[in-house]
Amino acid sequence: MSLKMCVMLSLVVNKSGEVFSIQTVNLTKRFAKKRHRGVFGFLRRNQLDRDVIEKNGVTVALNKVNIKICPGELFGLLGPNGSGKTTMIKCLSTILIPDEGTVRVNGFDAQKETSMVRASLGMVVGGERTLYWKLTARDNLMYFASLYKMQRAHAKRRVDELLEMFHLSDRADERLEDYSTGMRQKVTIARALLHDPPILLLDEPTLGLDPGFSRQIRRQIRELSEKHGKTVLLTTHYMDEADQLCDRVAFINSGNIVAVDTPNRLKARVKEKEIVEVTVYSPPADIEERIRSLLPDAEVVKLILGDEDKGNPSRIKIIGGAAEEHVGTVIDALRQKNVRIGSLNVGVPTLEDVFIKLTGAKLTEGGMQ
Amino acid sequence: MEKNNKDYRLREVKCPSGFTWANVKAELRAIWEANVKAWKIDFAYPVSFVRQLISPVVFMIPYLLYGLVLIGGTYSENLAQLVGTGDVVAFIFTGYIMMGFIGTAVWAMGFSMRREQWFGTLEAIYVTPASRLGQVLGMALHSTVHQGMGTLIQAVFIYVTFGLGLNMSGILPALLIFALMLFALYGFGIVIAAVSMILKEGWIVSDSFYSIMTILSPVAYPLTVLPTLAQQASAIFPTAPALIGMRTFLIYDYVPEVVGNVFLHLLALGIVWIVFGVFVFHLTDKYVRKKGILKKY
Repeated sequence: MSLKMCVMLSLVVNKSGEVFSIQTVNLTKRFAKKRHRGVFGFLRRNQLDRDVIEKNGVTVALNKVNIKICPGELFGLLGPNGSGKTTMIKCLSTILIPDEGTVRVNGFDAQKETSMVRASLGMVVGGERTLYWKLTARDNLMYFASLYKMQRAHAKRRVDELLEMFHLSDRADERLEDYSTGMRQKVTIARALLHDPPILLLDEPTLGLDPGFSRQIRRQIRELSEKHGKTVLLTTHYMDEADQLCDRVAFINSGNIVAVDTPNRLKARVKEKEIVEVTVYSPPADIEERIRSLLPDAEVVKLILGDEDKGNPSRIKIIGGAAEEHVGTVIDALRQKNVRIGSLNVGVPTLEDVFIKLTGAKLTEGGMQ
Repeated sequence: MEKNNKDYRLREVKCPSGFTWANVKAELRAIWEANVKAWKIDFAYPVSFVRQLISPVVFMIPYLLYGLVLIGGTYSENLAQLVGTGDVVAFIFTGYIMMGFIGTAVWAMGFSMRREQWFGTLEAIYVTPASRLGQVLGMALHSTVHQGMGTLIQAVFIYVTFGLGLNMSGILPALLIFALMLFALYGFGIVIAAVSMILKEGWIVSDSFYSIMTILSPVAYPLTVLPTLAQQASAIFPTAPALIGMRTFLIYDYVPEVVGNVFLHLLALGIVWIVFGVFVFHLTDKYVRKKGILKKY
């Protein structure tokens, strides 16, 4: 073991002997809001504008976030769009420099030892274009292997191994432009594993994939954690994904961590029969307000709009109080407004219910994948 | 399920870093692979690839014809009075070579990071331990070879159609001057690459500098026809002294417009531009990561 490694280990083992793959202390990131006033907007800018910018001109993407992730843990970061998940991943991966706080990855300080942090990480970002579509899968992987400073012979062996692992060997020499979205995502994950990093950052890895590919990707993520001992930080707004995969989950909302625990313990925070979920079609805008007025003891009444064209009806969630006893009242209220009811479920809380209960915000629009 | 974290040990990371030979080799390989990747992407667009090879010839012909028609032949008495030689073809050809390599710095190198942004791969590159300068230098290598091939085609074409006559015994010192110029030009290209990451509309930056450098470099006219201030300003870019130096060795009877040691001038410019370029690049790198504008277009 090198001297550097010894130093590194001593840095991350705290007094109680715990070791952390990822640790953030008071991690804060703010972004300036930009107001667009049109082409000649600068001419119209006055003192009032300046005061408004000074007062409201900053978005706090991460607000004093403290997280400790143990080696080998599969940790989920769950939150709605814009909650700070991607900012968090970017701060950990050195793409962003935080405004305050510290980040340690595999024992290395993200601001002082960026190179070693990068060598400790494999990162997967959801979305289509993070690879060269005009190159083959093999060429893409070989190129990134050189950026991970791998020796050529070693890189060749590793690329073959990964192509085999992801069942891409027979199409390895085809350009990525001829691949499906799911296959490209497999190449992206293979790229993150090239240098066999101890830590993986997966930012919405199943985003935009069909259910079949999503299942395959989830299975592989689980294997990477269990068989290969990788520490995985997974961000997602798919609650089932986090529930199925993660050892622990953190809820993030508006840049704040609101809860960290195992999925089961989090779900235990909401009792069974406290949950009522009604799927409805074309609900009027005031239905949420109407039901809330009828159920004053309910902690949360939330209308989650769906996309009926895509087969996702809207949902009304009622959490807390004696929700189960009010089913009749809810049905009457919906009928009065001529709202068509798809289904009605009582009990079995999900992570989404916990999130809604804790934050009052909704995790997803249109339900789960 | 919560894992007992005491059962796990943090893993050692094998990655060369710092001022070690292993790291230098790894960074050089990353530069080479960035160059190879650029070639592979070029070959994916064969028509565009061929067009880029012959475009130096196509763009140069109007320059030459314009000159020849105005003068009424390939010999200009007026040019001879200014710089000793009246050979318009050799004068414009050597100047035009320079224009191609100015393009290498301001377009290919200047656009290298923006190109990755456009591909969507910039963030993926940023999370690797290799230096981002490798992208710029890989593109420089690719573009220099590409431009070199175009220049060879250009030379053959001009030789066959217009009777290009160069002093072949001066080719080695001319190449040395050229190499020194490239060194400085790469530094300049790194500055453009850095600036275009912030300004985003990179083509405006590249186009502006391309225009300025083309005017300040005596491509199709002797430097002495420019106003004194412009002549002085041309000394901060490597192309003007390099062009004058190369013409001294390549064109018969050519009398340089300015005096001084071209080799030392270019060496000094090279050091200044490279140091300045790397400095600006690192500042920009920090700035875009601080502001979170790496991915934004």
